[in-house]
Amino acid sequence: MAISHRQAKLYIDMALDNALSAAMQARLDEHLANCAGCRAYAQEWMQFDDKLSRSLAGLGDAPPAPPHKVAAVLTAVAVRRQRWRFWQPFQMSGRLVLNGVMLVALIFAVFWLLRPPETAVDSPTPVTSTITPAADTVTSLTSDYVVIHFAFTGSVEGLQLYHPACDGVAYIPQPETLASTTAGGKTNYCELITSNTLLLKPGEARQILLVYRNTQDDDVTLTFTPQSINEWERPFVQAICKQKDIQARQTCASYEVRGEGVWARYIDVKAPEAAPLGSSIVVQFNLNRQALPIKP
Amino acid sequence: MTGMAIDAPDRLRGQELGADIEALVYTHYDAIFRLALSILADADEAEDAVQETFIAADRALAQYRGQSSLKTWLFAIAINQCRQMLRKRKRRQALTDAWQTARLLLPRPALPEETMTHTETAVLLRDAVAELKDKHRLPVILRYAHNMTAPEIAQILQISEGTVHSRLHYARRELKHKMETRD
Repeated sequence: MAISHRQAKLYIDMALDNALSAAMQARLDEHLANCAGCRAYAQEWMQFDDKLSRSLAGLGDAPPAPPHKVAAVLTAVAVRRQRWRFWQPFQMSGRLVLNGVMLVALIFAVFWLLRPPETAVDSPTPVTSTITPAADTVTSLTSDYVVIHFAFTGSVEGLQLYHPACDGVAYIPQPETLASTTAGGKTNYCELITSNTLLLKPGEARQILLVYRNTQDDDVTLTFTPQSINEWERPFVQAICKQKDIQARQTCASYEVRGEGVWARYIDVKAPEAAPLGSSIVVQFNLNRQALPIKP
Repeated sequence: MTGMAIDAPDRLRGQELGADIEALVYTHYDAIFRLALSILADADEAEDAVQETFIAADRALAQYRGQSSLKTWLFAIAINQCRQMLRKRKRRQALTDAWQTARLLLPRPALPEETMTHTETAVLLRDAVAELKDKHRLPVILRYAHNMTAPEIAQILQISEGTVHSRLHYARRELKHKMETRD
């Protein structure tokens, strides 16, 4: 069977390593007899191979080792063997101890992974802007925080809570800012508090922003009443009316919104120092909307 | 050197050492030293490599099952020792230095012109071999400096025969290319 030029070159390369079988050698010889190009290729590589052999033949040549060097090796072997025999039992027992420790760790890990599930944790009660639950406001949670839920009662709908990340500058977001904030836009002055829940450490204070957009072209009075459920929580939750100037903070119970616009109110919230970790506090607000007579 | 012709100290014979390792040292010391010297190009390091090779062989002798010849088995251990030594060196630069030293140590007697040309070619080729990566250099040294076959090289380097062929093929092309560009 004739071979191609490509195969012939492959065979030539294998021939350099004496890796050709008799049959392969015969096929190569046949090809070379009829192909001057491959013959030249073979000759070129055979010559280079020969040159390489002659050049590296003496590499590492050294006179026979003198007896003292051989003896030195034998001595070194004997010394190392002695040392090895001395330490071998310790190494073996050390290995046994290590294996034992690993086995115990493995058993422990298996038991830990297969342990029965712990008692299910009560999840925080979802709070909507409808009516708040009353007395049972402190719920035990396995959490590092005190969970503050905000709930709203009254006749106003469409309330939203924001983290006022406004660097201490009083800022009442404009409708377009609110829109962009809500949509996750770039003007992120005030971040929306989702699910009306805030996590605080005991004693930690936070300010939030309650926003109401009056989309109706009428004048209204908003009556705002913070209502803490438990008496001991009352000092920590207070509502402060705030206009555009931060200096003008004052507690207020009602506010007039005339026409279409945004009504916003900052609320200071502080988790009680004594509140146990994982407890849940519901802070309830009552917000009523009452139409004002149209001004002449 | 015939191993048994060496008169080792009597205290070593048949006492601390088992007869097997002793026979191995006597029989293969020179071959292992030549191998180590051809790889490390440093006589002191080569001697250290030989010593570590026989110490390792002594420890592993009980596990030797005769799957390869003793010489091949010892060469595999020696190659590993040499590799460790090469790793200990500051690799490339140190290796280049060593080979440069080896080149200077080559005998340069007054020779006829043809022989001179051969010696120069040999020096250039050895330099080119020294510049190869270890994975290509070691098969070349085993093949051309120690006349080993591809199956033997495969056993020593613990790679397949096909890989030996492919590395030798690559190395030859690389060396030829280097020689042509130097001419």
